[in-house]
Amino acid sequence: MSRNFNQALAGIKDTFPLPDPVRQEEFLRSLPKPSEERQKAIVPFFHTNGKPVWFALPAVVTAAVMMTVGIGVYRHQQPHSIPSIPVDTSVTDVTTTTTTVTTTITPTETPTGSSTPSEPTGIPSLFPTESPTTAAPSESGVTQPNASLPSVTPTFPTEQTRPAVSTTAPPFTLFPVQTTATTQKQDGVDADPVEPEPTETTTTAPNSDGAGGKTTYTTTKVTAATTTTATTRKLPPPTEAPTESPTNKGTEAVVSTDESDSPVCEPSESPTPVECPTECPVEDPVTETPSRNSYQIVTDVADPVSPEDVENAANLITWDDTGDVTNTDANWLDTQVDASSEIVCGYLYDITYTHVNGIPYTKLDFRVRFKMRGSKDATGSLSVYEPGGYIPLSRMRSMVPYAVERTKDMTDSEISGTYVYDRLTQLPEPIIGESYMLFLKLSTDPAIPSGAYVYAADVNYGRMIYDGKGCTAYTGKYISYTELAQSVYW
Amino acid sequence: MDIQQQYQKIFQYCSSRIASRETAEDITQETFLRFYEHPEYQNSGHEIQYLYTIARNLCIDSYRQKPTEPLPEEIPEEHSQEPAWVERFALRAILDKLPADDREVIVLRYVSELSVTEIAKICGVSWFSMNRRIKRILKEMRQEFEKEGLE
Repeated sequence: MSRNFNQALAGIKDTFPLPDPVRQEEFLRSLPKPSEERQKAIVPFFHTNGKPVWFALPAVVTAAVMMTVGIGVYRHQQPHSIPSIPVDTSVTDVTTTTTTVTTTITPTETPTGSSTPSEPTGIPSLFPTESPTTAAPSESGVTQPNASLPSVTPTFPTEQTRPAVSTTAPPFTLFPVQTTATTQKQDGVDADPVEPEPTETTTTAPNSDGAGGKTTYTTTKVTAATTTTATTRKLPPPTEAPTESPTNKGTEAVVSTDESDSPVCEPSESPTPVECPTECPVEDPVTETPSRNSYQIVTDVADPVSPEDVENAANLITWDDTGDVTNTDANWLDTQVDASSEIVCGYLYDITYTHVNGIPYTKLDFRVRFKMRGSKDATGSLSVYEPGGYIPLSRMRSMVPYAVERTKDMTDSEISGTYVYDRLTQLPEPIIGESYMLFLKLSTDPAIPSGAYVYAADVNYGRMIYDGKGCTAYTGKYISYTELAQSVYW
Repeated sequence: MDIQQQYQKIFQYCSSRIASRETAEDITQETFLRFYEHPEYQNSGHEIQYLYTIARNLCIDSYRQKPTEPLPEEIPEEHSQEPAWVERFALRAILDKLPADDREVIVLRYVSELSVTEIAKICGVSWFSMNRRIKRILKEMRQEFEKEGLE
């Protein structure tokens, strides 16, 4: 029985009808040829001897992912690319100790000359006193590298010298800096900076693409005799904001210098005099030419508070009006990002204390390192009005009721000589040379100068310390650049 | 893959599910046309599976379009008197009485001569499940075969 069943099961297919042979033949003849050869010809990498290579597609996908990640990391490491600037190397005549520093008049973005988003080098590149006129030559007679870099920071004409000023907490120091200023002397004698002798030359060089074209570079040479150089680094008074130079051939110069600091064409003391052009450049050879839509700082400060006045004040009162400002919003980052029209990483280079309608403000001037959001190019500088700072008590009493209430026991003479440091935010103390991630919007307050920015949404999250990889909020919360980018771009 | 051989097997498979011979042949040809419309189906190592999956889906579509028709009694007269053929058609009758899903599995296994693995993939079940299912169906068919007295 079992054998019969198995035989019947093996032959059961014969009980099914076969297709019509004529129709089958016609249909099979009309079928297209198998596309095996064509497919292998199209993607030979994916087939070997007619068999698909199982690891081919994963390998290609993995390679693509790795390349994408690599490009992303590279871009992350260089969030702001700085165009290369044709800068000739410094030439120094050792025998005559005359240092020739050649800089281009092509504008640059960075005050440090660094193209990476790493930590800025700090104060040295901020002040033009380190520019060619004060660059100390090394023992070998070769100019320091940073001396040949074009500095684009403002020049502050001042005679005040502040050696070693480094503070972080107000109100004891008005203008904290990240690094201490240094004083370099030779032979123990301070000497006046030798004024350089700028000359303009034109250099023609073939293009690197080998197409036969030539590129013309116009350079400015600054020659300084450094035989008795004694460089004294000067800190500028913060109340003197950089002024724009309107005479820069139709472009707006973000920085300008006073004549006392600009190089003056004089006959050189060196035995090998350098040719002096017939017409000396009036403007600072180190200037920046921002694009038409770049950021601009605000130069007009209505009521600046002089640091000398604060230091010489008879009394200084410190008020902390921050209150309980801890943000309980779990999505505070998204809230901050959504409210910001400009999200930029800025390099703080100037602090100015002022007051608006009796409320102290601190004007912070940042050089934009890179931009994550905004309608302008990531070049130039911008000014931020941050609540809090120094203000004369008399001015504050005239417009703010709580100031009157708190100082009702003071006499008029005491009031006139008193300054108030009113802390209004939990923001970290601004430090010159530090980089910050800024969440900004344009101020709509008519009392604040036009063009100035204020912090968007929560003021306490408006300025975060940026360390090149992420930001630190005032609460200590660390936001990586990736997290921030996800919030901004996604 | 022998196209001609597979054409016959696909047709037999469709015939087991579709009462009309013409419809079964149309579905068979439509199966091959759709198979050749997609180059990724070819040279994939699963051509048989693709063919039967397409045919199966087309048969299901055909069910939805038309009401079920009874299977025709197509018994070749010239073989009906031979004992082997009597047993085969008796078994075919038992097969036709099985539920549609069980009948499909037996047809795929013993008419289309697919492996258990291929049938399991077509039906979307595991090899073990399909193996147990085939054994169960064969046991039931064997019991019916014994009841018929075809020893």
